[in-house]
Amino acid sequence: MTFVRAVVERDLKLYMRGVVDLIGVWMFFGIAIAMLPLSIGPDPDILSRIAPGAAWAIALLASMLSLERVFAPDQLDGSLDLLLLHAPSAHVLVLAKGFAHWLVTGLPFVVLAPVAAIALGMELRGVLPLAGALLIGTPALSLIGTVGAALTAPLRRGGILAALIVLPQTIPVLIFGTAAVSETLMGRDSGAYFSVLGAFTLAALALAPYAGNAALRAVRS
Amino acid sequence: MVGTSKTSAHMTDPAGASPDALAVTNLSCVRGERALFTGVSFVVPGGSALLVTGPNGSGKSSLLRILAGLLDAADGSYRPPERGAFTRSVGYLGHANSVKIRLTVWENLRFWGRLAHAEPAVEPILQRVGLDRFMDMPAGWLSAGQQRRLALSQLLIVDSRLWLLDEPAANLDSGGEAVLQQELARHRSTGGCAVVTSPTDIEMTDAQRFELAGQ
Repeated sequence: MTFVRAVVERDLKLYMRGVVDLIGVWMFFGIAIAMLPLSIGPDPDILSRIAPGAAWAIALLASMLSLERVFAPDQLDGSLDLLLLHAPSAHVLVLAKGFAHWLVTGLPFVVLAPVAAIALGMELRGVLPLAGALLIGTPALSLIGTVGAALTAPLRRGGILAALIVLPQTIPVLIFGTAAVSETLMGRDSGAYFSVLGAFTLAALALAPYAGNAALRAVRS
Repeated sequence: MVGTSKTSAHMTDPAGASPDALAVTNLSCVRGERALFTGVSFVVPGGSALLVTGPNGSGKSSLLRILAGLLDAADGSYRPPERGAFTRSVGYLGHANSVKIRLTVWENLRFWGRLAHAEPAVEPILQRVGLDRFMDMPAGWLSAGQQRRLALSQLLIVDSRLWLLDEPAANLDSGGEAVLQQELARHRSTGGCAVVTSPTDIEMTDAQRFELAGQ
């Protein structure tokens, strides 16, 4: 536990000291949401119909923007070697890195969900389901993203490649995340969609450490 | 082409090495199609040091990475020394300094101190390596030699029995080299052992020598 806490606290400090990169991620989310009504038009019916999917797709793309900062800086300055030597196992390191990434990308999207919902003309009763779905689903995005970040750690500007590797794996999260909010807005029971979304996050929690460990081993040999 | 290795020091039989010794038996390393070295065997008993020399690309860094568990050997085996009274079995100082330039000197060392459960040792160790005056300074403001000293302090705070030092004197001035020699002597006097790499033979008191001949 000491290891996870120390790594997460250090990563948060490092993210905050390079906050310009993070602000870029948060602004991408905000600007993309704001631009959607400009490109599609102000028709509230159309906007509210596409709002859940648009919010999820933008959150997904925004969370990919910072993958380059998960492992690559540690690989570059040599601290990844020492982290692996100190870690109880590489699995724990992957979990800690994924959690730190979620705290600076996924969690802010949850906080920004009401703003996104209003900007997209979503009914107010959709705000909580959107925030809830993002809260349940975005940890899966960060965990899957951490595996891609591990695979591309030694590459210069590997963030784009990481995103290309990761995006197809996140499609189920996108589909069920969108459906959970849409079904609620249509007044139907969305419990099953939230459950499946939670199951994806739990599966990512269980599998990403193994995949991340294998990725780290593969790229380092 | 297959790399070869030769030793200029008497080596004990790895099979009969004591538990406080590093024992390496017939170790081989292959990168891609190229064998960096084959059949490397040596023993580094507790309280002693081994200096590994060899030209660029002979596999010195790979040897240390294998011994640290960061790289798989193509063949052979090794047994790190038992931890004994030390906190950890293996400590590693690589080519890169593992320094975060956006953190202060103190924050850098405190992080590794937390992982090693040795936070109270942060300030005394910074004094030992001569960085106590720069404690609150971002590590990015340090010179290359001072960053190397910070990397050395990260090794010291872990209190490990086996030190694996990859060209530790790189960028160090004479004062820094003296600190390094002092700490090596202190480490050996407590029963620790060390494997140190260098492209050329360097001054190391009572150290065994081992040469990786390369291709």
